[in-house]
Amino acid sequence: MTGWAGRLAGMVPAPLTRRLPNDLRADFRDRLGLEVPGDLGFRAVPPGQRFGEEVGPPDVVVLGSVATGARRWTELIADHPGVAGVGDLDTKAHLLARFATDRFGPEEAASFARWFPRRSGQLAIHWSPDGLAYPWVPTLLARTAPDARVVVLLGDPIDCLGSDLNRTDDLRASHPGTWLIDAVDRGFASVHLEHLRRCVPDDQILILQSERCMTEPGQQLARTDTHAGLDPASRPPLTTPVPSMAQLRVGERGTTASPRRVRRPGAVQPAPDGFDDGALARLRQLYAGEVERLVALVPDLDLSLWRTTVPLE
Amino acid sequence: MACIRPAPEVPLPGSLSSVERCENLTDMPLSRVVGAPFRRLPPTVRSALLHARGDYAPWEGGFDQQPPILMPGEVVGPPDFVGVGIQKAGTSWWFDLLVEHPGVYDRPGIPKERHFLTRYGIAPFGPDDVARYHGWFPRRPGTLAGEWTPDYLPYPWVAPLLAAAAPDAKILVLVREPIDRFRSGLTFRRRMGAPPTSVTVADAVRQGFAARGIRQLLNFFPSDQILVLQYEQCRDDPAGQLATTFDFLGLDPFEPTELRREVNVSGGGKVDLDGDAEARLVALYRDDVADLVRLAPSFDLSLWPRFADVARGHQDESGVGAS
Repeated sequence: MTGWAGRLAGMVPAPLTRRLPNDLRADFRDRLGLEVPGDLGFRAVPPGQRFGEEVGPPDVVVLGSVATGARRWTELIADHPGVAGVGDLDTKAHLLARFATDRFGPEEAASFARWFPRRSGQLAIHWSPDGLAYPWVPTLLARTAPDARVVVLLGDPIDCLGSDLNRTDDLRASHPGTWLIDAVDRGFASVHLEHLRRCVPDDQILILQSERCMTEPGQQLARTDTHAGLDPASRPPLTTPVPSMAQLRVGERGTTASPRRVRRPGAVQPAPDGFDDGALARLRQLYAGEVERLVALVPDLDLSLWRTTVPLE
Repeated sequence: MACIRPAPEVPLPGSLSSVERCENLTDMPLSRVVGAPFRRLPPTVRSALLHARGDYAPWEGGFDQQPPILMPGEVVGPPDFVGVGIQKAGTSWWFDLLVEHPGVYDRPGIPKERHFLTRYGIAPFGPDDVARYHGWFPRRPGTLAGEWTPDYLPYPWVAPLLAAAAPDAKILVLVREPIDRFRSGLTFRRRMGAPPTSVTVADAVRQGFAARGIRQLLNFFPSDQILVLQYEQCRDDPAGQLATTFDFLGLDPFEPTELRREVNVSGGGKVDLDGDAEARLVALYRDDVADLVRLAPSFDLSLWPRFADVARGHQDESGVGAS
C-alpha cells in the first residue's frame, strides 16, 4: 500500500469498505494498487537481508490449507533452533500462486528466494495454503526449490470443506459456484497428490494427517523433523498445547484475498454438523472414491479420525 | 513455444470471445433506463448497482430460482437434454442452433444457462427442488426442452444431482482446446468482474480438465447417454456435427438458416499468457487430454497443435465421442 492511494484508502473507515461487495473491493484494490496476498497483482518487497544472513529457496515447504492446520504446523516446525523464523508467513503464503499466467524465470526465482533469509546452517521454511490444490504451484516449486522437503497435511475432507467455505464466504453471493468448487476441490487430495508426485520425488514428500498432528504432536513433529533433516532431540519441548482442529480453523489468518475478513472476531466455521443430512450424505458419496484412492496412496491413513467423511457403519 | 500476446479476438463461428452474461446483465431494466453510460461502468460497479435493485444473473447467489409461470399450452417436466460444458467452448452458438430445430422448445426470456444445480453442492435437494428444476423447462407437448450450463461439468456435485432430477436426459459436452479455452475463460471472468485473485484463476484452470468431469458423469450416466463434441470440429464442419447432435437427441435432420453465424463476439484482447506459463499449462493438461481421446476417440488432435503429440492410448470401453 503506497503513495496517495494508500493514504486515501487508509482514510476510509474499515466498516464502510467491508460493506462493499467482495468483487467491488477486489476491483478497487486492483485499480488503486492496494493488492493483498492472494491478489494476482500483489507485489511485495522481500525483507532486507541482515548481517550474517544468506538467502535461498526454502528447504522445507508445508502444503495444506488453513483448514488442515498447516499454518500452525509451519510455526511449530520453525520453533526448532535449526529453522529460521517464519517471518511474514501470510505475505509469503501466496507468492507462487500468483504466477499462473506469468513468467517464472531465474529473476522471479531469485526474487522468491529473497523471502527466505536464514543464518548459515539453518533451514528456511515456506507455507503454501494453495500449493496442493492449485496445480501450477507444485510445478513452480519443483523448479525453484527442487531439493525442498515437502510436508503435506491432510484433514478430514468434509470437516475441512466446512472450514474453507467459511474462509471464502465473501465469494458466496456473487460467485456461488466458484465459492463451492474451490473448497470442494481441495478435498480431492489424491488428484493433487498425484500431481505433486509428478513434480517432486516421493522421498522428498512426507504426508501427515492433521488430526494426528493435533492428538500426538510430539510424535508427528519428530517425524517431520527427521524428514526435514533436523534433529528431533534438539527441539525444545512444546510449552503450549497444540490447539484443537476447531480452534485452528477459526483462529487462523492469511489465506484469503481479504485479510480483513478473516480477522473478523467471532467468525465461526459452519461445522459439518451444519450440513443438512441429505447434503452430508451426498458429500460422503462424493468423497467415497477419493478416500479409497487416498488410502491406496497413503496406507497409514487412519480413517477412524475422519468420522465426518467416513462414518462408522 | 510461442508466446501469446494480447490480440484482437478473431470472430469465429459460435464465438468464444463473448460477454454473453454481460449482455444478460445489461439487458436488465436499469441498463435500458440509463443506456450507454451504464454499459461503460466497470462490471463490478454495474453488478453492485443491479444487485442493489435486486437484479441478479442466474449464476449469482441472489437469483430467484422460482421457475417461470407456465404459458397456455405449455407443460413442464425434466429436461430432455442438458449441456454441461464447457465454458467458452461455443456452447451458446451450439445451443442457439439446437433450439432452432422445430422439435425443440425454447421460450424466449429463459436463460440458456439455468445454473440451478450449481448451488446445491451443500444444500438440501429434495422432491420440491427437483420439481422446481423441472419447472424451468416449459415446453409444448411433443417437443424437447433443455438447457446448457457450461459450469456443470467441472463441479463434481452436479452429476449426481442431475442423475436424480433428470435420469433420462441426454448429456451434451462441447470441449475446446484447453489453452485457448483457458485464455478465453479467464478473460471472460475478468470482464464479468470476477475478483483478480488466484481463486478466479484456479477456477479457470479447473474448467479445462474435461476428461475428469466426463469420468464423473460416467459414474451416473451410461455412456450412450453422453455426447462429447469437439469445438474445432463443430467450427470446421458445423453441418455434420449438428446432424450428429440432432441424431443423438432423437430429432429429425434439420438445417438451421445460418450455421456459421457469430454469437457473443466482443472486441478487445484476451488476458496475457506468458510463453513459460503456457508451456506449464500444456504440461498440466496433457494427461487429461490423453484421457479425453481415450474417452472420445473421434477427437482430432491435429486440431489441437499444442497437444498433437499426446499419445493415443487404448480406446476406453465407454466411448462418448461423436462418431
